[in-house]
Amino acid sequence: MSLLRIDSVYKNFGGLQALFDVSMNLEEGSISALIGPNGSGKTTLFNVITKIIPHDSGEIFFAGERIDQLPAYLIPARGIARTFQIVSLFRESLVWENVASGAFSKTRAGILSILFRIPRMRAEERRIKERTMEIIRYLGIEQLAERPAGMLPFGQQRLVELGRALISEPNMVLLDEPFSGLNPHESEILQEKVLEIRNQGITVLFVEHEMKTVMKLADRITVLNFGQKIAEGSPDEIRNNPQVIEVYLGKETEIV
Amino acid sequence: MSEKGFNYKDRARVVVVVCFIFLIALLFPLFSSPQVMNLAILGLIGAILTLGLNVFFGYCGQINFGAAGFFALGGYGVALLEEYLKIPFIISLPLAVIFSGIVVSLVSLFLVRLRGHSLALGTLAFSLAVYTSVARGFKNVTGGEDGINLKPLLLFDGSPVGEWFFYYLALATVVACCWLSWTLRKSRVGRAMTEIAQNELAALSFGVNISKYLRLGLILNSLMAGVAGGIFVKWIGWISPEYFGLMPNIIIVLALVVGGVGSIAGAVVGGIFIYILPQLMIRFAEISVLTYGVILCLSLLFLPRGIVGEIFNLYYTHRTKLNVSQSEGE
Repeated sequence: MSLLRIDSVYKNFGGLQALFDVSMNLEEGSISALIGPNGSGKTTLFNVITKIIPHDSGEIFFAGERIDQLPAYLIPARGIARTFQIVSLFRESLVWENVASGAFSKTRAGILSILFRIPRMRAEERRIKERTMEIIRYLGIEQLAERPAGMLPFGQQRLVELGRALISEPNMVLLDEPFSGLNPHESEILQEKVLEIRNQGITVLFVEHEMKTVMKLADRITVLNFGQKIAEGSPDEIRNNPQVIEVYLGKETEIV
Repeated sequence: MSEKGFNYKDRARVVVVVCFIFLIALLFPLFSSPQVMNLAILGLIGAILTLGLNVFFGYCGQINFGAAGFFALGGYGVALLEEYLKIPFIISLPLAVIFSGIVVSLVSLFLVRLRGHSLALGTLAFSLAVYTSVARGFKNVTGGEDGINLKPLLLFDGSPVGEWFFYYLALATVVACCWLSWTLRKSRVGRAMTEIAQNELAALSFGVNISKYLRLGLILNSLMAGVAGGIFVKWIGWISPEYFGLMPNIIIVLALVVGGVGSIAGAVVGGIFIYILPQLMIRFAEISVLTYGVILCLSLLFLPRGIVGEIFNLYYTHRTKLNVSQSEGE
């Protein structure tokens, strides 16, 4: 069953066509990769899905519900979580606070119940804290939980971002270049996590430039070029698609 | 392993220090002259104002040069309710605070669309609009520059209350504001506010309705400042626009910056210090603006984290050194 359906989305920045008639289908429980040269509209597509930037036309459906007319702050509650190309942690907040912030859309306590510390609010806060610690243990960074997130090495900041996306138990995670800037060992760990996430039934859409990683992880690959979708298919189909080879992989290159 | 964070030992120390300070504050009227008491009341009112600003400036990370406007709303609320409707202070104070909150919840609809310099000017414009309204626009009602005299607050036996009443009222309000700030900061809403301050896009991506929580921060700011205004006018028995012009706005921001932005203890220390200071050097009243300038420059140069922030930092550095020398000795 298709979880995310993007129907003919357009987005212009001034005269620049960032997205031109992009359509996409994401099967539930699959890992899909979005590839393409720099400036081909991959991050723009992520931002359009999460409503961070408004699109010009087209429709986006998530789990059968049209989401492209919702305000951005309601998107996470529908079950979509994301990470950013440029790590966007709350640098002065502690690591556990960063992870807990991902659960914001799943918690309810309003200002009055907080100021009067009613029991339901305290129970909710305890539940967030426990769940946060579970996630932090899962990521293997429990000794860093009380540190400001900005003081962590880069690789671990990426893990915190992943934790922040996972804590809300989303149906789909959008990972924007999650492996960039990681050393091979860290990248290996994160790839394992991505596979584990999928095995828990979470649909994954990720952007990545390293073709080896893409071929290893992805069930389906979508290729963008200058805001247009030029190919879509299984890793094998993409590997042998002449147009993809021409614009992205480079001519006459052996692909692993 | 030296953690730059709070552990249980630190927490215990903080509790002991806070309890000690609170005990001294409780017993303070026993060994103080009326002059000293009045000084303390002024300091505590300054602390309430600064604690209010700390919610919007410290937690939400948005500049606010209009806090004296909120202060004026609370003060004029109490004064007008008493002057025209003869409502006793115990009822007019909460009504004035609610009035201040309602006005600011409307104005905030526009203000939270601004950021940075525009927000600084927008909040300042609001404060000056309040000032001009009470000084000129509604002169017939507010008495303009002449102000309004308030009757002294009476005890049950008909004698006027002493300084101790306003002292304990202000102290209780400071404690309540500290408690509210603390419980807010530890909650999902407080975390959302600090997230907005650090990275709006990331906060939005995880479901924080930015303008809702900025408005909430501004309203909480106005409620605290409104209480401060109400207590202030009843205490000095008179209200006039001169307390709410341009300079008071800047002084509140100065107090928070000197104390430590984003820190509850910093807001209390900064508020008390900056509000008492001009009274201590009343002989040099004509250079008081200059003094504020010098204090701001010095604190930005030498205490960038504010008084309290620097003390905590010194403590952490000291403890880290201790831990290092201990582990080297082993």
